[in-house]
Amino acid sequence: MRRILFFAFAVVVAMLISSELSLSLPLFGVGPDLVVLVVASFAIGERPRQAAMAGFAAGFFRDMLLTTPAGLSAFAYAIVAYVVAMLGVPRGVGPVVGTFAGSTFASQLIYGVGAMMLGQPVHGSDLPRMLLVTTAYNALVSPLLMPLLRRVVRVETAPIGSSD
Amino acid sequence: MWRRTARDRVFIAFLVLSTVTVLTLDFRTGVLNGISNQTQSTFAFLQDGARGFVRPFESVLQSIGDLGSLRRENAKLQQQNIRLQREVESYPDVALENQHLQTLLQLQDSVGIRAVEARVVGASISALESSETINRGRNSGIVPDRAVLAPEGLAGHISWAGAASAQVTFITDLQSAVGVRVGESGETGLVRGQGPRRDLLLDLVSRAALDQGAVKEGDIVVTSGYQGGIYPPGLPVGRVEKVELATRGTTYKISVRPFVRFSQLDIVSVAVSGPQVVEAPPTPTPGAGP
Repeated sequence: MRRILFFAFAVVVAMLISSELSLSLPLFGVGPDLVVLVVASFAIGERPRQAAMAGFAAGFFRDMLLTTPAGLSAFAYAIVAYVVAMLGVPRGVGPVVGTFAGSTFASQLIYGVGAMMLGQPVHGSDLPRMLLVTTAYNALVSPLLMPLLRRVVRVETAPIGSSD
Repeated sequence: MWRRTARDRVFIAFLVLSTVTVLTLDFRTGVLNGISNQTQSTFAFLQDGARGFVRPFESVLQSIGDLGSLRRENAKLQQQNIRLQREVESYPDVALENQHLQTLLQLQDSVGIRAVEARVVGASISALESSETINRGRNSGIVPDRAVLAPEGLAGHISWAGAASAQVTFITDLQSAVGVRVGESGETGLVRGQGPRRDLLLDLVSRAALDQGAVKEGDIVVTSGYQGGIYPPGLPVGRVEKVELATRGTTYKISVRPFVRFSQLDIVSVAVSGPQVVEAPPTPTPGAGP
């Protein structure tokens, strides 16, 4: 229960920092998406279904703050969380950063393509820019957020190789 | 690594079904509006608090982010300075430029709306939106579909308003369109947003006027205020950056660079009385039609 509460707290904090960085320090006009880092951290070592539900909840919260169709972020985060949980615990800095970068890229891709499919006007080059910059931004800031993210990760309960 | 089971497949189906349900509820009913409004209000309150904490360090952050652009801008301004110095020395028509500037100031003064000031407290967390959150809302008389002004000119309109916060959708947003009047010719048209950090696209009503050169690079674009009053008339929007025939030669592509530097916005004025904004036509058409 405490972990769930901390996850919810981390999602709100990540959302606030993302918004602040989008305003104060955007890269090529794009800010980071730190929520997906929190979701991926939660998913590491978690059961896939629980991870997906947590991702869905976090994404739904994000959707409530956007004008894009509600459900897109929820779906994107749920899928990402599910896959990260399925992959198991990454060992070493490289795989961890790779997991974060991959999670960011995948969630932004699902979200962006979904928005376009549902008729959201998106400029041709906005999607690749959003994908690449957000992924790079997240990869850059994830080491700085490790203290926060480490609290969300539950590696000690990860039954590697076992089934859900 | 986890092994996928039959229950996982059922769960994924459940996940897809949940998403479709949420999407349908969002599209077809207003069930989620209440939750969305409450979430946005609460989040804007938190953003306001966080902004107060970060503001003292903002100049440091911005100086890091703006370093590259400042260098470019510095070089550009130096070149511009040299050019302007030459013009002042050789070109006796400086009074004309002065007159244009005075006209702009008069236009801003003569907008005739009542406005309240608000502070920007947060940016959109999606790169697909050109919007920011401000720290005033309905309690200050701010309601949706009102014009938002920056010191340099028109910034956008209110797309959502809570009790103590509101969302500003910029004129650069892909769903934004503003009726405008161009330069000395006074030709009217519509500028559409092309996304963050992009120039606006001007669709002129009259193709004949374009053929006669009624719009040229450097022309000032201001709101027209027609169509039953979309935005107050006379608000500076931007400057015509480029006028070019499209590849097939049947349409013009006119780029307008907004006056407002959206990345630098801090305080904005929101009209609390005056004409309302209307939605953009559903199908954007780049360039001007014949």
